[in-house]
Amino acid sequence: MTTQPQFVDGAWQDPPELIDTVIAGVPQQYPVAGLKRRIGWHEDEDETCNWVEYRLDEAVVHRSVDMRVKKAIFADGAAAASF
Amino acid sequence: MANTAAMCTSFKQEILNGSHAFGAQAANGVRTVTTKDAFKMALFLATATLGAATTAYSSTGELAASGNYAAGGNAVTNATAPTTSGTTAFWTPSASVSWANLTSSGSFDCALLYNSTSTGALAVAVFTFGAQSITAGTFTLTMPTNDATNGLIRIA
Repeated sequence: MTTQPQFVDGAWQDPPELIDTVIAGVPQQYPVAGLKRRIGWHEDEDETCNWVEYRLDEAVVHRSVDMRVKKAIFADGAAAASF
Repeated sequence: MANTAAMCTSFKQEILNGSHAFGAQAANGVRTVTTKDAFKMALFLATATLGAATTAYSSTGELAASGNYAAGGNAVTNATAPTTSGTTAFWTPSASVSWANLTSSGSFDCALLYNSTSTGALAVAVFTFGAQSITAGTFTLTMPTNDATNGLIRIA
């Protein structure tokens, strides 16, 4: 059973019961229903970024990101036109 | 200083020298590449200084090997050989690269693609994005469409 949110078809899906967290510096699994969820996204010419945060008493205890890099690396090759 | 997206200059020289095999077919009448190389992506802190002058993978500036991040990064799935469309050659990993249950040691904004088969772990390209911190979560680099307009590596 997954303990990570999944980014599927443009939306975040919660894990069914427990989620991986770091609470007060300690990695542990915590009931997802007991956390406050925030989602957001950012898009510009270079990337599309979707993120989800889970908070416990305003502290971020889980953050996942799906990053789509849009700015591909491009090399413009050339051969000498004449000698 | 900061990380800067670029195709590594050394890579341009190395492809002319036949140092990288993204696909297993490169017959030139004298030699045929029957085994393609393996590639990896590693994540680098926003304070690092990767760019066109990067020639090889180095752990300097990389995320610390903690919180489920392993030094050297993750393997890239390469099931689709480079191809061409029109005058452009292109290649894109055939799956996303993902780190699960990751807690990053700091803010990071850069991924280095490098040849993990080659001696010296030769650099291919540097990709940058908005700085991120991950807490016990999944960081996924979703690949663009593999075509002449969007492919991750394009040479025209």
